[in-house]
Amino acid sequence: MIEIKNLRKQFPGTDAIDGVTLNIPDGVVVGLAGPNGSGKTTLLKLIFGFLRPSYGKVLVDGEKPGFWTKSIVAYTPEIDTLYHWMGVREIIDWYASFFEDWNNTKEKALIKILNIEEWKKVGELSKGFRTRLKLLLSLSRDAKIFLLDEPLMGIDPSSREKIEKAILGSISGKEIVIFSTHIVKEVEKIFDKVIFLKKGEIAIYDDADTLREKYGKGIEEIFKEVFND
Amino acid sequence: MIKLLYKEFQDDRNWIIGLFSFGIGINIILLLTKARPIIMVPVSLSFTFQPVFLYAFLKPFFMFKDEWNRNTIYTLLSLPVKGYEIILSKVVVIMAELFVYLLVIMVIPYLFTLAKMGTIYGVTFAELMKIWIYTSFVTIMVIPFSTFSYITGRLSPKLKGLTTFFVFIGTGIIFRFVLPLLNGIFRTVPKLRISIEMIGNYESHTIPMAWFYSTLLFGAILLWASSKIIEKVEV
Repeated sequence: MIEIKNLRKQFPGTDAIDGVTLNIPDGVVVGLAGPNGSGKTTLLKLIFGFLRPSYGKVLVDGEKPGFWTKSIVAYTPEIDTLYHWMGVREIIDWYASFFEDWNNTKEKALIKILNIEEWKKVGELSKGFRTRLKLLLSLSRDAKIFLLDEPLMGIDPSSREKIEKAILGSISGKEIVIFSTHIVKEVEKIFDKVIFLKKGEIAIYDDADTLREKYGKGIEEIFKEVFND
Repeated sequence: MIKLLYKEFQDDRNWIIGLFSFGIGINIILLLTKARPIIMVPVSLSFTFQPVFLYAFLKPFFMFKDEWNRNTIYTLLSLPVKGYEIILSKVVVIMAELFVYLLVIMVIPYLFTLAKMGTIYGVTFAELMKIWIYTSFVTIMVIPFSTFSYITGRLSPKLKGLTTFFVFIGTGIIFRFVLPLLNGIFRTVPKLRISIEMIGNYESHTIPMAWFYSTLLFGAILLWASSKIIEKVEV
């Protein structure tokens, strides 16, 4: 469970996150949507512990983000964070060796689904394949929480289905998955809950089905309506 | 820790190749010129010793700066490892590189002189090893300063730039006022005595070990502080 209470994150001249309060129960896939600069990455970084709150608190499984929570939270950053000099196989083995929850069966399945070329150097991979590799490094774990920051970034539309399949195939249903994106249409069907973040504040946080029922349209249309105001 | 060390050695291999190519290259050039030991040894050492302290001081900056520039710091900090493991893995690699480098650049001229002249002014291999241990440990003292400066600078953008300045001011104060106090505590520890016969004149040097251990302790404190700070650094 993730508990966020009155969370604020200030950077010089701006409040990236401004008074966010929410509870995310176990076993849900949450779509974190919002335009560029709405605070999606900052919120995920605060949950993982890359950033510290200016005010308020974040609790992950009852603990403040830190050393212990890293062993139960898998984070996929939006940017390229891999060592380019490493071989693909080498980085998978190296990364796996740090985590007790690494699942070799999931790793093998993901290599197949995502068409990962194990014999290449990371630096030889295209941007899209490096994104896939980052996803593999997170999803191969039996983590309790997955934080996926724009995992569709740099992925061509025809391959997005593979990513969706990889994510759904890697979770047992007990985990929390927070999927940040501004490409809502193609992935909205996997969301159980949706958070719309607007200028660091929560504009909407509700069950995806409840929202569809309430607005009488899909999440993508609601997204457009909310952010076109 | 072993897994981090493996990564650091791999990550640093181009630097290692560069450093050792320089040290061994200088010696090969001088050996090929058929220089006499009395010329070759001082020339070789004057060249090969020069990068040691510069390398020890600048290398931690580059190692950490690279992690931030390449965004790989996210990967490193996402691992369930303690701050001291991250700091020590880098520091140990720099130390190991420099220890082996110093050994190489000292042993080559030593063996060359031994082969050419049959004697090395009374310097036994054991004495050479003592000199090597001493020089190696002196380099250790440089590494924590730049490590601490860089990591502290990352804690807050406002501190960046000023940090190095204050670290040096702080170091000056510690050397002037704190170390003399510690010297008293370390006075009882064993001394390192190095005896060298220099062209007929037998000289015996006793290394001031109290200063040595005190500085080592100060370096350890800086590394401990760096490990705590890197756990708090925002990325």
